[in-house]
Amino acid sequence: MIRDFVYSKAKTVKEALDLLEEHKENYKIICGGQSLLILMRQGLVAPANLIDIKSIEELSYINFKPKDGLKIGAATTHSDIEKSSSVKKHYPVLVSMEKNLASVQTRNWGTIGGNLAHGDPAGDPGPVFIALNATVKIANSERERSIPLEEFFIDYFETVLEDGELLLEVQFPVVPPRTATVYEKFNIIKNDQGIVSVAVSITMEKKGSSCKDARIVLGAAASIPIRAKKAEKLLIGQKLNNGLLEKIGKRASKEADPVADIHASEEYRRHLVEALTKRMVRKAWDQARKPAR
Amino acid sequence: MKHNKERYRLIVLKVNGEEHSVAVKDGETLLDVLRDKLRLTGTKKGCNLGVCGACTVIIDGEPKNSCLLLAASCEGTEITTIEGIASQGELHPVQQAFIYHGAVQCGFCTPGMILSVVALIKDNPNPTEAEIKEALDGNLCRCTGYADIIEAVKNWKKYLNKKEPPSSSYDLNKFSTVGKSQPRVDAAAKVTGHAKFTADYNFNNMLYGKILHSPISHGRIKMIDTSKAETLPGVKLILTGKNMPDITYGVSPARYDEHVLAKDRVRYVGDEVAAVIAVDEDTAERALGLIQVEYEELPAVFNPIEALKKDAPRLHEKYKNNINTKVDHHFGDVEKGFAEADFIREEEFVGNHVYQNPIEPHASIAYWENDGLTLVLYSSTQVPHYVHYMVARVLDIPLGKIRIIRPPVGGGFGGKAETTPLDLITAIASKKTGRPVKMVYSRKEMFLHGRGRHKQYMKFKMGVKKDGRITAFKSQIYLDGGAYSSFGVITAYYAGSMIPTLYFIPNYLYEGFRIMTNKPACGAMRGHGTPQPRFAFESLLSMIADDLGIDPIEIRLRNAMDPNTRTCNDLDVRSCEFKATLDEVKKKSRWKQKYGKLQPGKGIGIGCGGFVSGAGYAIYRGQVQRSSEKKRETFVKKSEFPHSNAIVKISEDGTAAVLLIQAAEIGQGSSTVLSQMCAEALGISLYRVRIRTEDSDISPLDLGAYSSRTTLMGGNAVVMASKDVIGKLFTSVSRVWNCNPQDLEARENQIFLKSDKSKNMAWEEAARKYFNDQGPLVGTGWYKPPEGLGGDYKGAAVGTSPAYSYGSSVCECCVDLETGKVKIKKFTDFHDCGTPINPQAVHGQVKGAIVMGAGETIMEDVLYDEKGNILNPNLHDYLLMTIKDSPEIFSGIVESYEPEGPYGAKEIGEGAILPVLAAVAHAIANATGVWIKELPITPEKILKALKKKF
Repeated sequence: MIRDFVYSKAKTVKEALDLLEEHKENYKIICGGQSLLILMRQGLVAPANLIDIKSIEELSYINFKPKDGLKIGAATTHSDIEKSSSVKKHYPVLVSMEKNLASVQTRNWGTIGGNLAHGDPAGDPGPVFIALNATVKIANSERERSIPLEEFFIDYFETVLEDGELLLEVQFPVVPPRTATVYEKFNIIKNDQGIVSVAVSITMEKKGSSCKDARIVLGAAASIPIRAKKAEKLLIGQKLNNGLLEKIGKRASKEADPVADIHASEEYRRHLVEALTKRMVRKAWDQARKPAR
Repeated sequence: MKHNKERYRLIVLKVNGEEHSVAVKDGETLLDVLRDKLRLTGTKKGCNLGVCGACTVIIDGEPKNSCLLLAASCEGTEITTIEGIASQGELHPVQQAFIYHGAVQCGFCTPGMILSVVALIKDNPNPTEAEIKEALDGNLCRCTGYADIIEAVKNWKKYLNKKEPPSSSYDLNKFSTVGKSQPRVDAAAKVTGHAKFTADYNFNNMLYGKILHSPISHGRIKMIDTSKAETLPGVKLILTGKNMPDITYGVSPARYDEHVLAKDRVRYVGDEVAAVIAVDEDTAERALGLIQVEYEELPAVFNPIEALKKDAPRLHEKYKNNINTKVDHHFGDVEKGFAEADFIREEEFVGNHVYQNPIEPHASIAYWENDGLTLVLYSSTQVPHYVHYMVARVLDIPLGKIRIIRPPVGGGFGGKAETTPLDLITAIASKKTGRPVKMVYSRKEMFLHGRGRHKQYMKFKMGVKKDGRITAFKSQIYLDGGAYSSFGVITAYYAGSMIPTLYFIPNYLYEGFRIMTNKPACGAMRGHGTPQPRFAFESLLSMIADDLGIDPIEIRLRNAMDPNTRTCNDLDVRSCEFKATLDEVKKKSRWKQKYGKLQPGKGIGIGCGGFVSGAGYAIYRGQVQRSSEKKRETFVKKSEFPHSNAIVKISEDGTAAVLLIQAAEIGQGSSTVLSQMCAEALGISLYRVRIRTEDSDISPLDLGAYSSRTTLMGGNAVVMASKDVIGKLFTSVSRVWNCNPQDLEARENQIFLKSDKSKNMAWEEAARKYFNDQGPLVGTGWYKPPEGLGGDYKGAAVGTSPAYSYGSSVCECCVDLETGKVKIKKFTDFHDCGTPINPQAVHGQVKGAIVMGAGETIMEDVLYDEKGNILNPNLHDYLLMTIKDSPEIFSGIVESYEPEGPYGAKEIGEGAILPVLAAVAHAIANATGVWIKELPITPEKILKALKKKF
């Protein structure tokens, strides 16, 4: 049973922001609602007002410019991202991530903004977006602000979004040359959420001999998607070898802060972080070393 | 809560090209509006949580889950439901492909599945297998194992301009209809969304009920205050244990231990405490929150081994030490057998608590006919007759005053094999309110109602000679029963009785204990009591084969059962082609080239199993009567009444045979195979047979879909009734032609002289003449299992059957040795099911059982917290295999003929799952070098075992 609420559909960002202003803290924003409605049906969330921003056309877009990078509006569906040719060309990891995100039905209605604002540490986009150094644009009726996605999540199902604020856009910088970003999640049934997931982005030095920059992001391994920064440091400036790979895996596993649940123990999650980190670092390394097409 | 107009808003929805203006509440989902307001019930509610995909509709060209869409947000969109797929009475090619490729079983997931396919092929008319799986991974199916669905989608274009289906390739020649892969008789209704399942029915002035479940695992009810709830507008009736009959119910007569609503004690989280009947489900649910209950909490116990301890909390006074059932079977002399053995191995195994999870939730609707004395009960049940019997008991009215209607059932697997609180509460509440009452379980309530597979703790010891022949086998099994008896007495016996049907075991000892714990009752799930012991036995046998250096298939061949044998526990095996199934899987899987020769991480394994073709005895003893009038009946080794009964009624013009039998079609295909046998015996085309199984007022008693009984028992009754018709018809024709009735034959809608086929008459003409001269042409038939089945020891009745099935399965898998993740790649299965009446249906059962069994082995488990709350009572956290996880399957049938079965047929539905668990476990052991003896075999367990080993 979903508890009673009042539903409002905003047609423009301004309308949405006015509604947020009007209802103060007594609302939830719905933008697809593929997770929110589950929580509402289970009685875990019971807002008095539900403000629907999914049909705001100005929030549904995928824009790529070679100089600026990629911008995706918050109300863009997962399917739109999955099927976008510019995303496929310039950020292929997003396509493969989206293909394994829940079911077709969910991807057809669920949106990228809804997903991020839901703040689930097991969500797929978080780790990949952080690995891609994404930023989110947030607005209230008075001002706009942009923050790195890395700083967006605070705790389980909690983000920096304040009352009156709306997530407008995700921005991805231009991918530096000689960079590869990869992602894998571990689960029992395909397309389920990850029991653990790891995204890795590696940029090689010009000569292609050592690592210039690395981002290792762990999903479902803490209360929020986290970067394994110490593991990253081990790699930066280095050439990858098996010994180093082992160390990176172990370090990432130490940096994780997983909890046990019905799907896995804490110990097993740490093990998975290690195994997946090693795989992803190896994979990203191999891809980044390949000469550009 | 105020009922004011502001809670509603008027919206316009465009569905299948038509505009509807509807008043909706803001919280209403598109699914509820489609079903309840627009009465488009082809869209199904399975999990209501966006996982199962049964509610899929196409919105603006894309498939979406209508349970996770607010109706209000769908204004301005173009919505297509299953009702909008066929046009002008012409089926869409995808619908036809589903029909002819066996992609439909229970049909509950079918509408959503078809919509996902229709959306796929619009953009991509030639999808690859990978793309098909991609598009359908949000549509769960619990029946088919997905394989035939994939085939249907691959072949959909063949049906673009075709009116006639491609002809079937399988033909046994001897018969016209039997032995052929005929499309299901109910498939067209299921692919169009016309098939109405119980929850799809709506009656005027109908009320809705919801149950208040106990939040604690064990306690006394001190006080229930319903006064607040009663004042909620829209609430019509509140029931508690106080105003319910003081009559217990259950499955086994000796252990009726459930009350419809708790009298004074609750025994698990979920126990039924009160029920609210209101104008709609929402109001009923709100009212539940206003009922105040005070409990005195009692200590609870959740583990059967703990529950046996002296000072453990006791659940029922009558079950000492919480032992609900104790089995003590000893055949031959195991000590002597172990003394004779050259090699002995002992192992302990633990099973898992698996829940059936049919995609259709349980539902009931009751009303009383105009006389006020006759109850009409619609129920989503596998066993309409037992529901009939139990409702008669609790309401204490004659069976003749109850009419049970069983609409199509969206899967059961044993989870719908007993009378539910929904059946009883709707019956009682509709009497008290004078209005129809409908109740439907949520997915969580399904888990709480339970009746899933017993988790078994098994200690096995096997002794063999050097050559692998078994000399003795000893098993000790503790079954975690949950809070009530349910089927558990029978489960405890089955856990032992089926073991000796597969192999010669000269000396056999089985000790079984079914223990009460403060959890939902466990019941009968596919393979009833047998899959876990079979998994453990087969695993132990494969371990011993490796110990002795004998090939695992060879050790099975050396011990395999022969036809016409009496087992050590006095079960009579007639047909048995077990060895042939072993030979065939060995060949087909290329076992010799693979076993022991694969790289680390790749594995192959074998498992075998079989099952009864119908239980030899009815669950209640003696005759059909109200059970409150029954005295305790002593067991006699014969059936008092026929277990299956059929009437064949020929239409006045002779062009249709109406087959009446109460056999429960739950997706397994019983209506189709029974119709095929009817057509065969009458000598007419299948399309001339119409089967009516749903209404107890129309169709005679059949015990229902459990113990894999319908093909054999129902089939025998149908053949007898059909032959009765033919006898009458031949007598009538022989008078005209002046010959003996024995000289006549009926085939392909003709009646002719055997000696001279040119002397013939159209079947319908002969039937019309019969009607003109003698009135209705009707035949009756029935089936009683043979007398004297089973031995003379306590519990000998369980496991008896007219016939036994046999099967062998080879599983191939890959295991990621770094993470422990298992990918089940391929299954090769051969079965002895006697004559396959409908090979496509047989393969459908096998493929479905393989996917269900494989999932059960590696991922399914109901989990509890320390207070007895289920941690995963939904399809997000309780994992079911999706189309992407399902393996490639080859299903084969060996030649076999069962003398006790109709046209030589026996069962397939349950036997098919029995080899699966061990085959998977063995393949994983073969891939990793470690045996996991505790189900489910999760990656974490594999990894732990690997770490321990290396």
